[in-house]
Amino acid sequence: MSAPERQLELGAGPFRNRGLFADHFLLERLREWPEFDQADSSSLYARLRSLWRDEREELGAANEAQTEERWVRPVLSALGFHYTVQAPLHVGTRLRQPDYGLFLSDADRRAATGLEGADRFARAACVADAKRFARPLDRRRAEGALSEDPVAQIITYVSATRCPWGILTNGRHWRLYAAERNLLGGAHYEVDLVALLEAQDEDAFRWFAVFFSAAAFAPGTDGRPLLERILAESRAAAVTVGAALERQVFVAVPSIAEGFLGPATATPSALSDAFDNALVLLYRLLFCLHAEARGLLPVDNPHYLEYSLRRQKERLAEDLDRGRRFSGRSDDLYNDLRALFRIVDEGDDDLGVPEYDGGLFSAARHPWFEGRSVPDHLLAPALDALYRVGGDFVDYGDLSARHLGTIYERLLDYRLEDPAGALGLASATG
Amino acid sequence: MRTHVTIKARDLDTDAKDVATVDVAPPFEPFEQRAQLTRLVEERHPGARLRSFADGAATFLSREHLIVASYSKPPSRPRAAKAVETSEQERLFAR
Repeated sequence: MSAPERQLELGAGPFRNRGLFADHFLLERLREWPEFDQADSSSLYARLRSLWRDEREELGAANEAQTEERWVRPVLSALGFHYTVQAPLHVGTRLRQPDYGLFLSDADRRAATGLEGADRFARAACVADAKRFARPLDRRRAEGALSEDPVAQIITYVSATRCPWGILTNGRHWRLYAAERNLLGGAHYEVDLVALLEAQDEDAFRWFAVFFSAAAFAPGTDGRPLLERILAESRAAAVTVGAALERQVFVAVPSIAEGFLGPATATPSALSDAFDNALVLLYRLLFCLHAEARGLLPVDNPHYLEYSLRRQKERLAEDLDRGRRFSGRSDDLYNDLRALFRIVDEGDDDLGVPEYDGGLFSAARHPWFEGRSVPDHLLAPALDALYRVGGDFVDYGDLSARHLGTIYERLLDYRLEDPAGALGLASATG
Repeated sequence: MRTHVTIKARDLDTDAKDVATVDVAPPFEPFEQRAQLTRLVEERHPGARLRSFADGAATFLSREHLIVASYSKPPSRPRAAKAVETSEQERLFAR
């Protein structure tokens, strides 16, 4: 199976990674690591399967305490953790009680007993919080207490305890949060443990076992835990993709500007306008790609999906890979972008899209675009250069907004030139 | 039963909006609903092409407009008629 095909499976696959690790690394590289490839999770799998068979009838109606007693604590023990329960923790003037401090040895747990506040978690590998079985983890009450916002709660606990990792679970879904990876933005890795156990797919079960076992939090031979190394490799992968993407953006922008310019004489003023507005188009694209990857635009809505960049990049990649030639007389691709930008500009209830708060997509603020377009034969390769690096789709969820902003800002140091009938970028500072 | 279809069109350049409502007798089958919405939109926006259909709503794209057509109340098939017919048949043919 090719990387893009596997990436498309991601939504319905064994894990859901929301910006914690690099998808590309998880799908392409981690499988080659012996810690994953040769992980023996069969005994854990058998133990949890047996536990699930015994408890599943009762868990559907279980409250939080029953969920913890019948399911969460046995699972934590099976994963190899030693734990303390509801250790008090002062956060500002408030007293908080994270459900669990997870330790790698009983000696560490004992050593923590009697200590107070964050000191009690100093030897903990992880802090964890549990909710009643299958309670939606992202649902919260706007005016509710912290306990009614599970995500805010685990973020608070990770920050206050200074633990490097946090686990949030409703028994069914298990989420991993990292202190040093966009914690406030809610970046996490999630598996549906029940679905994995019900599917009886021991291979897929490794996506739970490898990431949530106590061994993943324990220092390896180089002193770093497996999870820390996965995090570091993810960052490195994102930087590599980001650097390649930047080079491709510098090629794509002149093509887009050339399309806008059309047959018009390439006067300095016309070149400047075409370049400036090619950058606006680029920034709109980067915004949408990032928003779709982070779930801020509803790619799970069937109506929106048909207008999304996700759908366009899949179709475009397929067309280019089978050698389709794009016409210089058609601008269907650009028309699709116009529709998308209208949808994002003021939102669209029918497509499940909220209003974008800003002028980037505003027709009134960018009248230059009216009546202009970019023909398919120029736009197709330019878009593909934004969508793929080395044949793989770029995961814009892995790239920080700051990184994308940096690419854009570097372009501002350039201007469009037409020295010999071939548009290119030249340094604006000479 | 009759209902309304709302057709909202947004100009791709200016974002100017136009809304029209049409009184219709809605079919029950989704493929018939899709055909009905397509017909209604094509009458007003020649050249518009269907892009998506789900839950009694369809979207279309032309060179000038993004169009969403939707039933005000998605039609659903009356229930239980078949069960009554079956038991009636059983009585008629029972010996």
